[in-house]
Amino acid sequence: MDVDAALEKMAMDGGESVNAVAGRALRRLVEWDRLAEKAGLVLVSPLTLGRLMDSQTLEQARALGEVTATDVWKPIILSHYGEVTISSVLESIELISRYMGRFDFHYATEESRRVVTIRHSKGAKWSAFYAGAGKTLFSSLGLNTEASETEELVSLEFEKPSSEEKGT
Amino acid sequence: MKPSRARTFRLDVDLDDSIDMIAKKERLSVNQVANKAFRRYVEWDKAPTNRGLVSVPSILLVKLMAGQTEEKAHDLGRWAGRELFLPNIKAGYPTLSLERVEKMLRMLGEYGGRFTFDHTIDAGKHIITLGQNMGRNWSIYYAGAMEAVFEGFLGKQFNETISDNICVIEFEM
Repeated sequence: MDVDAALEKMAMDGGESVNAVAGRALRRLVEWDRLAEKAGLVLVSPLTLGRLMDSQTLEQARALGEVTATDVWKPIILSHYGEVTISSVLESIELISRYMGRFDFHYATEESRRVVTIRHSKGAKWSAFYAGAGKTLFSSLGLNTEASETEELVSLEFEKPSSEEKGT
Repeated sequence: MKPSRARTFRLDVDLDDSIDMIAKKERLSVNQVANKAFRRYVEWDKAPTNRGLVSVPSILLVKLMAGQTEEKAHDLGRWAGRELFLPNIKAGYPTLSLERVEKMLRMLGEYGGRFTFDHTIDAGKHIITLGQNMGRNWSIYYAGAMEAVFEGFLGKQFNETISDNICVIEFEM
């Protein structure tokens, strides 16, 4: 494939400059591809993934989320950012949301409450999975985390971390 | 050597610094790093055959598949071959052929990260090998998918060999 011609065509089709397309490709490499490689991420059809998850019970799905957080995300966050903190965890979830294409992510702050919302619209088992993963990650930071689940989303709620008060 | 063309890009400083750092760490030139990123982006990330695939940790797929029976893994593979793999090839290449199946498998292997792909031809016999390290049920899944593709749509009779790490398909042309 002629990469230069393909970049030009992509730019023309999208009504933008080759520089803009190239910048996006490079940013993806820098922000995501290396993290994905470290995390052992692989590509799969969401339908295949959905069928596999359908065969799990709610509790199995939750346990899978916990294992994934402990065995994959925590070590990767540590390796990538040098420390597992509220800000590195939140930044990772934001990157996962942007590049993995599995869910939308929102972080709300109000007075002393903090709420992380993961909106996936893929049913109760995925909510259990994300609740398991999220609780494991935030609880490991010493945050007393409550999860509420619907078929569409998971909310993880905790008190303002003390690190915010220290300005770190 | 492939023909090449020089281009100049203006990048945000943070991005430029990060690319320099990657090049240094991987002992490559900035040019090589950039080319790799561009090739992946145009060949795979934006390809119509690849739309909609999602990234997941391989350990999740290992655990999800480990709980299936062999029969279910095989059926899921047949379903995926018929309902996902073939329509995705047609999205990029309307006429189905062995060459296009091979190209898709090669790209899925290279960029998807779930298996390695090899195709050899010996005295008219084709040998396709998918190597993977996610457990026997994934080999069975790939065998099911290959059945759907080769028997169902290309009309090829083939022999298959399955092990914990490999699925081998042999057929004559």
